Amino acid sequence: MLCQLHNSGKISLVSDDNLAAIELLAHNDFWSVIHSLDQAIPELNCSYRDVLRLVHTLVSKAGSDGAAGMPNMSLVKWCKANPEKAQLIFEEAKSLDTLCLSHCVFAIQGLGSTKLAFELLKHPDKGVVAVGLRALGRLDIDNEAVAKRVMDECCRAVEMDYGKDVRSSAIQTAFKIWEKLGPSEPYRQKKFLEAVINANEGDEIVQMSAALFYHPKGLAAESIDQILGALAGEVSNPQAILHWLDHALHSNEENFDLDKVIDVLAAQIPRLEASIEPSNLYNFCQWIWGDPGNSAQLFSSWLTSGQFELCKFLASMAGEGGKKNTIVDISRAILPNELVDQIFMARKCVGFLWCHEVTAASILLSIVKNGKKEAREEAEKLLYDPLLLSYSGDLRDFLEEQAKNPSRRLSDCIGHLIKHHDAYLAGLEKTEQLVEFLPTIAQRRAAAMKERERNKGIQKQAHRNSIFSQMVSHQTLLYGKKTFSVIHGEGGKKIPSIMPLSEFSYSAELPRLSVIDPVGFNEMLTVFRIEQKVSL
Amino acid sequence: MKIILKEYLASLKERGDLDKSVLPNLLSEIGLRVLNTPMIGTRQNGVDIAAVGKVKGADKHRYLYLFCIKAGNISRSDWSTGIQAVRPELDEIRDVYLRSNIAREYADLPIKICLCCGGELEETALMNWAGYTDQYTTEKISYEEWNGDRLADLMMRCLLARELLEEEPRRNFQKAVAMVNEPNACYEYTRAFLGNLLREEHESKKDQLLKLRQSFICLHAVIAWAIEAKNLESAYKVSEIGMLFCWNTIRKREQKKRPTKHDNSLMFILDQFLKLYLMASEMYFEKTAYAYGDTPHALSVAVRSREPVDVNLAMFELLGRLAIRGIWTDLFSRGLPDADPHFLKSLEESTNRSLDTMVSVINSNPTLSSPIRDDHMIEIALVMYLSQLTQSESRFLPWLKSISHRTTFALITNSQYPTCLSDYADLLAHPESPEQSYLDEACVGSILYPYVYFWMQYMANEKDTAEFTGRLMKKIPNCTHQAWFPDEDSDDLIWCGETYHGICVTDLSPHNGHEALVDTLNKSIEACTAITEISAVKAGLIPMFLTACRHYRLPIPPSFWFLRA
Repeated sequence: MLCQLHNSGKISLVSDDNLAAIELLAHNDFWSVIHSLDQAIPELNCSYRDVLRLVHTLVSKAGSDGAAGMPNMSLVKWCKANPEKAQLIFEEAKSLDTLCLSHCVFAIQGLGSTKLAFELLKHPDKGVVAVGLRALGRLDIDNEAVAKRVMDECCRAVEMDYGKDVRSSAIQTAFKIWEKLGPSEPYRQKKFLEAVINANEGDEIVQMSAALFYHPKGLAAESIDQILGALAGEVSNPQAILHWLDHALHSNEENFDLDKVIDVLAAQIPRLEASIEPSNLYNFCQWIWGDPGNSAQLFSSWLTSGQFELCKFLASMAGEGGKKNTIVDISRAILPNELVDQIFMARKCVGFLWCHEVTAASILLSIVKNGKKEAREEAEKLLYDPLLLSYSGDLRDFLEEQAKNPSRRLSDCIGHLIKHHDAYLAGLEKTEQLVEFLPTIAQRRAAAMKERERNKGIQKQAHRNSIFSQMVSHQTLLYGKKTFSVIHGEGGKKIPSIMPLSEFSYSAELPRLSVIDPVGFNEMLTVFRIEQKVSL
Repeated sequence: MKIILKEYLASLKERGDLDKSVLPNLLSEIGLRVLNTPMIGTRQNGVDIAAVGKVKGADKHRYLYLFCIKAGNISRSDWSTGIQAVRPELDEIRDVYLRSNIAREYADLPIKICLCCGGELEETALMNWAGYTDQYTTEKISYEEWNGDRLADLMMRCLLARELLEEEPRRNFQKAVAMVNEPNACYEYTRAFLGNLLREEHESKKDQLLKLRQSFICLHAVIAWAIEAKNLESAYKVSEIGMLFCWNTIRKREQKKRPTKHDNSLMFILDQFLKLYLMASEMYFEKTAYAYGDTPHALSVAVRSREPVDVNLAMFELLGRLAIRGIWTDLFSRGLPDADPHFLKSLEESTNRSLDTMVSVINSNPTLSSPIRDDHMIEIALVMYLSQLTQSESRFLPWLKSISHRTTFALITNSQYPTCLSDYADLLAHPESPEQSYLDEACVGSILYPYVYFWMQYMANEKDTAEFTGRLMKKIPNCTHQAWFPDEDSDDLIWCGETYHGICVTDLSPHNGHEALVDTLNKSIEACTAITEISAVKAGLIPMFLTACRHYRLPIPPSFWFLRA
């Protein structure tokens, strides 16, 4: 409709007034009209410059949004429909007209001409060359020879000192071309990647990490390893690396070597300015928890490293999304060999995973089962103090369950622990009749007030953090355990519906030592967390 | 009121409660003169207490009263069998006591042999009693039954009558009894009735004695009810405040070479208050620290709170009480040269038991290495004072070292570091914020750090000391490190809980080094001499002063920090 009105001369979508009005639109208003404007572009009857101005205005206004490139795609269609005018854009770009140059890629794409793109590569201006390279990446190339020629051009661009823009365009195009060629034909892949990695200029490594996500299909397994190796080194933007790598892992982890991915994260997480949450590495975490061997490898590796941020991340992972009692069973093959490492790992495990008692205990039991003698003794000691002394609920149940383990070492160790713990609990039970130390009524009231405030805070935070809470409207039921509502059916028919309410809850055990020895407990954990490895 | 008293008398499970605590005071107030001070194991041929005189409002002549005392009810089975049987004792009085134990000056007096019990003579034993008294009553010898009802009646008439015990203390006493299960409320009401009875200037010596006896009986009743309710916290707290109030009442008496009868009566009452306190504390520890002191975490868990501050406060309170008991028993074991050697030995054993229990409690309850209140210095100083009295400092120095480390560790990690804020709500929220402004407020002054630092010269190496002072300097550079001495007003004010008196010594910052600290302390000890004028200190009862300091949260003065200069 807009297009018809424009083409009939009743309105002008490309007038200065209209473009100025678009500039002034508020965020929500802009996004509500952009779709109509975008749909109008392919059939607009106007000069190439007018359409470029309209596209440019829309793209600029859309900013960094994921849908910002939509008008460019419409421009491609416009160029396809208006090849003569598109050719003019190409010509003007060669003459270094800024507006034309910035949209020339789409003009060539619309024209579907590799010839024009190759022509740009011979231009003396590097900006024009970069456009040519990017255009080659966008064109449908089904001829292997042409594709290889494009790769040759990309390699040349990386080898020669053509500047950042050309290199970046070459890298972008190279990955696209490899994808078109398929993984069986990684033409000049190894060498090209080597050149980029060795140069390590600007954000090129980040660009490669993004390519893992966008163009995984053209990469050989060795090339992925090669890129992962680079990602584990010095990079310009660790956060972006982790972001793209995690995206790349989505349903695609079989192409990745776990060790190498772990190395990338181990290298980049400590370099982040702020701590990272498991939700930021969702796919990685899914991959880790999807296979017990993966979690064993990750926990063993990072706990043994003792690196603060990595161990902290493990602790967040263990409790991520209300996860409880996750078991990490580390086999002898994965457990570090050295005694000092095993002891160090046991202490780090308690220092960071103390509030995930079952997870911590499962790792300590792995040491008991597969570790060296002194490490086993240390693990057993830590299982008792602070873990069992702090937790008598799930941890105790877990240990009792593990007592049936065929490993004699495990069952013996758990036997001792349970015996000591029983004696300890029996000692505590003896004082049940003591009333002499109870806090006064006033103290209990003050503590209850504090507790109430704390619970309110937790509830508010839970609402703030809940995805569901943000997505749906709220109704608060003051009474009852079922809800009645009317569903509007076909033809305005009203259907009454009664739905029972279900309850979701999460509970955690307050560690006893944090009440009866808060400073000592904190000191023990702090020491475990910050201590460095020493050789025995 | 009478019902309360009857229940109280019936609840006295031990004969000793009746013959040592209740009857002597009661008999004195109803007009009799007690001839012998009863002691267990020294019963004279069936007679527990002998007294002479006329019971007010009942007797027209003077009588010699001979009391045979039993606890609780007397049933048929108590009549003639068992070692405490009634009939053999009555026979013994008649056959032996009357023939050989009566002093010549009372030989002509008519005699009343009284079967006394806190409860009642049960129906099954009444016939035996009636038959016996009928058979052996003569012109000179008569028999009377003094059961709980009669004792309560006498108490009401002669001790706690409306004209003797005013409405307010009476009401507070009744509330204290009703609240024995809520130790704080019970304590407040007890403090109120003791304040009502003992804080005013007494018109006469007789009046003073009456008020002290009333206080004692009421206090004893509250404690008996607390024991009955199995809440020894109330018993402990009220017995301690009772002792302090009693001392306040009698502290101004002049020291004489030959004490008068009144002086002796006062000392007897003080002795009763003290014994009551020691008995209550003994029972309290038997139930708590002695029983579970060496069981890991048991006492901490018995606080039954998820707030670490509750555990911390309760454990330091317990530790302070243990230390003060040890200090008392140590004093008596040294200060009673004429006492029975077995008794002295038991006192010495009691002191050792306090020491051993303190070590166990410290080892089993790790919160004791991390005082949350700055004034927990009081408990720490009492422990060290007792350890010095008994030459056992080495047992506690590792603990003190751990305190020096933990307190400053808590400071640098913003966990539960010691604060001079004392309001419970503040302690509950502590540390409220990691901001320096909060830290400055929470640690505006300290009596703990100078004390700990003082001891570091005996237990810590240079590195530890430097770490301690460095952390203080870094985290609380503006804290006023101080100590407290009593002044000339203190003796008049301290015993009833006034805390606005004394001299504060500053310039005790650990940053200035040990030498400077010791120098300032020595100079202040030389200059602040009022401590020697504190009545209890003058009377050789230093533990009384230390008890007051602990009870009313006043710092232990440097004079008691270090005993072997």
